[in-house]
Amino acid sequence: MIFWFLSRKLQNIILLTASYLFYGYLNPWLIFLLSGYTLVNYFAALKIQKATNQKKKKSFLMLAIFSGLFVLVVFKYFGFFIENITNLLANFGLLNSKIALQIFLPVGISFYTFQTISYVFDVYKGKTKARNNLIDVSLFIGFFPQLIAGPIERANSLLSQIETKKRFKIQDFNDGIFLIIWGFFKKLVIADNVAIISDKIFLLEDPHFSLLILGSLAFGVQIFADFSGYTDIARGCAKLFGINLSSNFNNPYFSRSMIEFWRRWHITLSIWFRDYVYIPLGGSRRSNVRTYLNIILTFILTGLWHGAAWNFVFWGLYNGIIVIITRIYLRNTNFRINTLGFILTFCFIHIGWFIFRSENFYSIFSSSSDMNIHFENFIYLFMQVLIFSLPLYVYGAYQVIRNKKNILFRLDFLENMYLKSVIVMFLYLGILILRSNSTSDFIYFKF
Amino acid sequence: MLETRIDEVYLEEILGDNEDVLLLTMPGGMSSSWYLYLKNFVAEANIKPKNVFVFFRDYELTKPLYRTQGEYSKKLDLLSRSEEVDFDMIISSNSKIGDKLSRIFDEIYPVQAKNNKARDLINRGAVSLYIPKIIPFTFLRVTLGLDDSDYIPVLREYKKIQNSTNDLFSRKNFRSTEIFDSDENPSEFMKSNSFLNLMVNVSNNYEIELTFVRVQKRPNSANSKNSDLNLDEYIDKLKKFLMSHEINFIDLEGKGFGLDYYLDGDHINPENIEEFTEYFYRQNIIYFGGEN
Repeated sequence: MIFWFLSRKLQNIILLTASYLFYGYLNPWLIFLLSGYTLVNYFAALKIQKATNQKKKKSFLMLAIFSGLFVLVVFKYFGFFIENITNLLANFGLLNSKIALQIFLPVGISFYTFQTISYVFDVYKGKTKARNNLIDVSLFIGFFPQLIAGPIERANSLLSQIETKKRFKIQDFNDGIFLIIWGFFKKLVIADNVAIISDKIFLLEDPHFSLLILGSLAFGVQIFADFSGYTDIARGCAKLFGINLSSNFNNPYFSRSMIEFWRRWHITLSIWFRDYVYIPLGGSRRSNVRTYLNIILTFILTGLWHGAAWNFVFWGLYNGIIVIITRIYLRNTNFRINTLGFILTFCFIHIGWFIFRSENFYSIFSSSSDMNIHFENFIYLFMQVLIFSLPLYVYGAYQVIRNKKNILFRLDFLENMYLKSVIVMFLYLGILILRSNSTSDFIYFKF
Repeated sequence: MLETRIDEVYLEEILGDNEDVLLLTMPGGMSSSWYLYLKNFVAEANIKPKNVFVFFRDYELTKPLYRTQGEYSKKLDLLSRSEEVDFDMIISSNSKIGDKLSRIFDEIYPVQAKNNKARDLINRGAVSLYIPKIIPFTFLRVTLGLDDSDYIPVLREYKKIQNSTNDLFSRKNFRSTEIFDSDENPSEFMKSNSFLNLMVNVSNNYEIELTFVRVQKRPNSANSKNSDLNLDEYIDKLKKFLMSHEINFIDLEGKGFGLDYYLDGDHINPENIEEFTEYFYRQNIIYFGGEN
């Protein structure tokens, strides 16, 4: 309550203190890492802005980006590189034994590394100004609701809100509570219950093909509910403090093409890679071949961002190829069937999830499972996944209908504040009654 | 589990000579309730029993938090004294923040106790495409007390599908021997913060002839043993631990009751209860004064 009556500066100090306490609670050493990131980028941005020539600007930009990426690569990918190189050498008999290196991965590092890069890059491009206020910049980088797993915010969006005094609005409070409860419902009821089935399937030594299909479907529900649940909790928490974070999802499973999917899934990451990798590489301004190469590289890096493992690289590559094929098709034909596009896209997405989730997805080509599975087993498992995922798809359908312009029956009444409060109560009850007995960390905490 | 395996009246008949058998059992009971029964009922009895048998399966003896919340919490209260220092210490030392918050909510919102029932209802809904009667019959059973002759066949059909589906995920089908459903590391089960240690202490302090009886998990669909290397190692260490404390251990795991013997993972079919009771008697005959 007192928060709303404080000055803008005090509000930010409180939020910054809370953010650092939150991050330090996970591991006290992380505070030093976050502070280091903040100071490097804070000073780099100021230097870029003050620099008189392009060469100096670029030097400071490269310094900031390189230092951030270097830390990220060391923590996240060094072990992966060492393991693969030693495997290769061992296979050629040049090394006696393979080396596996496990390096502690600071939680959230992938997200705030990208967020800091976007800040200095935007300053370099003149899209935003470098800030003198260290507290504001620190809060932009370390704001606790989005510190661990995004959304990846831009300076023009988040920093501008940090620089204004936060005021209490009943609508924001109501929306915030709804988002938090809905987020927890998605995580604890939908994601964690479906994960029980998905995890078991992907643990099987030699699963039946039908189980692999089911596993992909289940994982698709799990990862969407898990990640969008986290994002909603983050956005809800931010709203309680009068800050609006970006939406990361826009009903991705209702996409009619893979190009559309990547505009609806993990939106802030997609836009980041578009603005800071794809476009600087030349985007689609060069020849077709160059454009396709840019797409492939961007998606491979997107896959690699998710983790240091080959299945993520292949997942990225797979998505890149499908996007290219879609692009070629859409440019060369006027033939469109929304329903067919929706079904095909749904299939492509879940094939991708199979690659993403499975540690040895390539074994499917040599698999000849003699697992004794009956149709009723498949239906039983499928129905469990369907029942738990129903709220997700119903809410998605509601949002799709709501956003349509030419529709006779609008559902605006569901946005009524009092009705939302009743829905919140039911969601809370649902969490208590239906939450999974085996909860797990948010999936994207690992990235 | 116990109430589906041991017919106490039949066992008394077998034992003869005015021997009495008492089943101390709570539906869904686990090591927490077994400890409370041992401490508050058996140890405090005026006439100590000749033998006390504790039936368990898998890692249950060293999963102290299992089934201590929700509806089970209320039942454990009925078995407890006004203060249970050791019991609370075990629960507290094994609980993470989420568990502690969950217990607080448990006190305020008893609806959490409905979790298992809600899940079972969802499972029944999932199977209703194949067994359309399951949901209406479940409803009728709860509201109007539908007769066994109508309800049990439908329940059996449902359990059959559930069992065969669970068999797809039996331990031996997994890629690694990683324990999937236990937090216990086989090499650490002897740590002091479990109810197993408390039960051993009660047995020794009150000179109770205690025997832990390991029962068989329902075999897989291929009628093969439902176990893995980790569980085998765990049971081996458990056996040695109990022997070192002069506690008896009987392993009924190897009998090889077939798939059809079981209703589900925990319970045998009701019609097999006498056969199992007799089998239990023969395996433990030395404790009943008989000869091997």
